[in-house]
Amino acid sequence: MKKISLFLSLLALLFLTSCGETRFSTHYFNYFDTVISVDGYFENAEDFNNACKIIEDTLGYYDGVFDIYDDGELKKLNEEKSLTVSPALYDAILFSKEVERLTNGYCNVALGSVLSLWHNARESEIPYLPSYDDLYEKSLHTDIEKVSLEENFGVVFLDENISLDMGAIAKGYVSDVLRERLQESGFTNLLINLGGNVVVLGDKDGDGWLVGVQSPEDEDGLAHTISVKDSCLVTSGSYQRFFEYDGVKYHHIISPDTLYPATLYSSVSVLYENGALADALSTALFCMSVEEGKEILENFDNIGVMWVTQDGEKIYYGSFK
Amino acid sequence: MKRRLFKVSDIAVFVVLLFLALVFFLLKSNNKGEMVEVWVQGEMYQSFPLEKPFELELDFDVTIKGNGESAFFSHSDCPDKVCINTGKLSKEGEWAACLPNETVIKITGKKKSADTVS
Repeated sequence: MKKISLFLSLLALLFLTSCGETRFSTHYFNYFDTVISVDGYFENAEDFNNACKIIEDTLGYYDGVFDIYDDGELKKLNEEKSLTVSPALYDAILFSKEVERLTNGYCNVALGSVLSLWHNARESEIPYLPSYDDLYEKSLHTDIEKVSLEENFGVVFLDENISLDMGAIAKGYVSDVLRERLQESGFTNLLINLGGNVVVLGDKDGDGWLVGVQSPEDEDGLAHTISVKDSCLVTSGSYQRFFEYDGVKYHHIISPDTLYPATLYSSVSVLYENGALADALSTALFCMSVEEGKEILENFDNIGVMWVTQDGEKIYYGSFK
Repeated sequence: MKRRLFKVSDIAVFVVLLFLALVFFLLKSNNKGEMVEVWVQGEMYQSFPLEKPFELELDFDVTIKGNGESAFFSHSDCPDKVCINTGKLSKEGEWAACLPNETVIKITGKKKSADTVS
């Protein structure tokens, strides 16, 4: 009898470990102008809903901080040029200055006024290209050193024509906040994909979560698949957002050198624990040669990168295999 | 007296368990092929086996088609047409979305491909 009950309890344990955690997923459409998907293992629907609440609260809050087109806090700062901001925005701007240095200026949130010319062209019903004279004029006001961080969360633009656009780091920055908040609440096995910014908690069933990188030249395919455990994978691709003019595609990653869409690669993917830096680096690396990129990457440990060139050639660095 | 190894009731329980295991196995093996899932406003709306052609017209002027090998947005009233430009989906983890219409299609089901796509 004892043996039987031992056998039964072992069976129950087996059953629980294989079925105790159920996979749930959902999508959000209303944040960061992209689709955000959540996919993970939870004990029950209530647990999942609790995680979703944390996720949605965080997305909603930070979308309101970084938005520059509707009525975000950053939009207000861009208009008023001098403002006492939330600790969240203050911290993000502080981080952006660090990012600008780390990327030799290739990820610069102060490019806002240049980017807005391209944004307007992309959103326009009638296709057109921004004029080079306009782009050049705006590019004279992109020095992030002219954004002064004061005491008590004050931010002052020393150049009145400067404008901030956090697009290159916002999703990665939020993915780090999401991870921290979810871990604090005991959620340990899920992934969130913020429109190509993937943050992974845990290792799924031990083998890691499989993250595909979209193939730029073959829209049906994956360029690469990689197992990710407790890290972030961010891809910047020329196929993500673009418009066509005169038969030419103009995508959304603007080179600070040419003020035009960068043309070296189809996509650059970065695998790194820090989602905000992975996001910033994927944008910066997109605009520079592989050699220059590798020099910058020497400053980071345990980082992996994959460049996919216009010819479809793949170049790997570090932990990206 | 010869002692029986199993009682009749033991055998009955065994048969029931075997039957349940079989049902479970069949259910699982039926789900082996990739599925095309259509999600509307965060809810799974409908799903189709990828290998069978289908056409789904949603009442907010979006059409999703499958040709037996891939699935894609074939029509949408949205201004940017990002959903249509995303192209044809055929591998697990791939997805396409129409933001203005809050509609997502994604491929799920086959093992050994991606959980998500960056």
